[in-house]
Amino acid sequence: MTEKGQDKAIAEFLAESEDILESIGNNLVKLEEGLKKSNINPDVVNTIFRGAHSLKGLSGMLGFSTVSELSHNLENLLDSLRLGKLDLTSSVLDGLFSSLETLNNLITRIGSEGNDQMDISKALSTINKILHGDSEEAAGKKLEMSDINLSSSILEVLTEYEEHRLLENVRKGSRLFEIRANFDLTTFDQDLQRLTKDLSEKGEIITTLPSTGSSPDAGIQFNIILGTMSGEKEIKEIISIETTTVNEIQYAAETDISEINPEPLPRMENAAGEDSFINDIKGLTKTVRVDINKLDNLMNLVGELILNKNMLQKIVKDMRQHHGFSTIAGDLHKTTDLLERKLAELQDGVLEVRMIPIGQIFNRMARIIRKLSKASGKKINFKTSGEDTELDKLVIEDIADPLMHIIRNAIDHGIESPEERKRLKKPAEGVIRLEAYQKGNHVVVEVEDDGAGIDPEKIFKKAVAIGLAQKDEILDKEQILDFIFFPGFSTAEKVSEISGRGVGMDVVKKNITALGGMVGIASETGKGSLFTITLPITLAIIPALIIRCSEQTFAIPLNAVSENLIVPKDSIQTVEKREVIKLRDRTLSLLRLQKVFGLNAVNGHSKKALIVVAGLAEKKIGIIVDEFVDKHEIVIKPIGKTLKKIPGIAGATELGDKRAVLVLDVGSLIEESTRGGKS
Amino acid sequence: MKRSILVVEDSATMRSLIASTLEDMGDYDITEASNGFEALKILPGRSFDLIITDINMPDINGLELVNFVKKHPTYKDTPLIIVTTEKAEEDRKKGMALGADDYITKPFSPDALQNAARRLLKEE
Repeated sequence: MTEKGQDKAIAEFLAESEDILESIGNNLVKLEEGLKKSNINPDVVNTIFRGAHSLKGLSGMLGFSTVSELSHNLENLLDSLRLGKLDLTSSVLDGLFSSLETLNNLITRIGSEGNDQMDISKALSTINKILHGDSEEAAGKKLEMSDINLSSSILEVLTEYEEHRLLENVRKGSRLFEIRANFDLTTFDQDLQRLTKDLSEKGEIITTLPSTGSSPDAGIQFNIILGTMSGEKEIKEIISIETTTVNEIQYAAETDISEINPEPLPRMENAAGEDSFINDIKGLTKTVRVDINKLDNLMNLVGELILNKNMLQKIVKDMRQHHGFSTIAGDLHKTTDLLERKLAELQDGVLEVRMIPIGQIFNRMARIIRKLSKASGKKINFKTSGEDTELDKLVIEDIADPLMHIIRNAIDHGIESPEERKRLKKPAEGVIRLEAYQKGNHVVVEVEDDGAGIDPEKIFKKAVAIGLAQKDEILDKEQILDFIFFPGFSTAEKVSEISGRGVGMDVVKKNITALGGMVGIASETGKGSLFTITLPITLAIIPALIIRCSEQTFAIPLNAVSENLIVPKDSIQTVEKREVIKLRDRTLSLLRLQKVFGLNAVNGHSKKALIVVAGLAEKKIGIIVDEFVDKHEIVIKPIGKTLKKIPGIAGATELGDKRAVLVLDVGSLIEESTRGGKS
Repeated sequence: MKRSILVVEDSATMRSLIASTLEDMGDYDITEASNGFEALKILPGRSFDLIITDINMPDINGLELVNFVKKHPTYKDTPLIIVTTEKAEEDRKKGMALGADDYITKPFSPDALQNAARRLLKEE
């Protein structure tokens, strides 16, 4: 995790811990009231228990061991209460309140100092005295799990049987060791078996606990608890794996336990005085965690409000037409304008909340690269920039897979082996560069490698072989490279370990297009490849140009529109069966929606043609339309499955007059046009 | 695409019983593992729509598997059902506390398993 990510995780942890502690506090007050009336609600006890449990889990994850330890003990106490093993008395309640106070102090300390290093022995002994002081068994010689100093993360996972075995070992006087071994995902089965076999000779393996360890994509960690008569040195000697640590687990001797004195509980004093009380009530962070679904709902509401506003604007327009500039029409117009401005602010606010930095994904990619680099023996220097670039959370989620695939391909097919690179006089270490930056209404993500590049000749041959291109067809390099995004296209002779997951570049393209984005490739043989992904910043609400064509209304996302043209009809020329016009010394291919969607052409008498110049990044086309209607804010809604398959349609939307119109997908229209109706 | 289910259970009888009960319910891609260790070997690079695991298994037990799955960044959202015995209340509690989404107790009726599976596969 990056430093920033860690900070964010801690901020979230603080926010959630405060919530939990506040809820525990409220519920303890409820318990106190219940106790006075001798009417204790078991649900309240259970809720407190769950709170302590969550806190334990959270703090454990973030490595706040003191919080974790105390909440674990608190959880034990609450578990006894909840299962009726312990009666709730006012002294137990006092103990709970004081534990809560200590936890609050700990959380405050994390907020201010960043750590939870504090002496909690007093709080722990209070809990222990409640637990064992009231239990008859504790006066005897029976050992408890809590007497063994096992980390809560291990205690949580032990089955009853394993607990029993652990206690048996302790009774026998065995020493307990926790052995942590890290293995590579590819070989962990043999490695673990060997280690298990070796350890079994020295004692009893009580549990083998797998965990994700520090790099979940590359490795797996096992925590083995061993009960043995041997010493630490002997255990260490038989372990041949470097990445293994051995720690002895301490446990209280039996005599210590019988000495615990069930005397009345002392009330914990607040060592820090009033200051910590003030900290208790003051919030530590201003973060609120929100379910993305709630934001989606909010966004939908904003979307609907915008539709209502559009309707209102239409009414204002009609009113002006029919009733002229009456005062009431003027007032309504003013009010609608104000509403529009405020709605825009509201929309911006909601959108902003949904934005998260793309750096999160970059971290994931770094892990994958480390793993793949290890697996393939290729050395890779991974460079990133623009981690702070923000995108809609949903876009971020959906871009991870395509990015990963491009990176896999770059390592598998792009970057050469160190020997090969040496031969080519390239640095032994290959470079993969991942960069994100904002460009207008879009975010551009670039993945570049300095590997072998893609040979357009090979691609063309393959394209001809699988029928994507004619043998004698003359295509430019860009068009040829584009074939790699076609379904069923893969130049690798056979599926490799790294990129062979049954997903082709066509899926990459499909996923990116589904997000309203585009992907392009540039490559130079021997020098490397560059993938450029252009994504809309948000999917939720976008301004669109409303046009009419063949008596149908369509919406074109405004971020894909660069200009509108009105040209004389006779300036349209036909080159290689394609209609084009000259636009500032460049040739612009034209596209008729009638052709794409099979609509009836309407023969206008006008000598002018209306053209919407649309495109993402460098690729542009001119869409010939009958009428420019308006500019509108639209909310794209997914359409039924049957329409989904139609290339060129991104979804549907509603305009103010409640009629549904189709939203054009400029990315796939461009594709249609450059392919010239082929495929 | 067919939905996929991973069944982890050391008793072969129990395992095929679970698998066939699931097959009665619909057309699923069912992968079987005879213990937690095998499940760990199967997981990398795969994703499942549902995991059903026994608790008492040698080597890597069910709780350890639940713990692994529910703390793993990739698999943590995979719904998981634990299969326990009537007596092992402690283990069941631990399994649920570790993040299991549901449990069924042995001996279970086909309905109990199917209902739990349907709910978690959101096929109600």
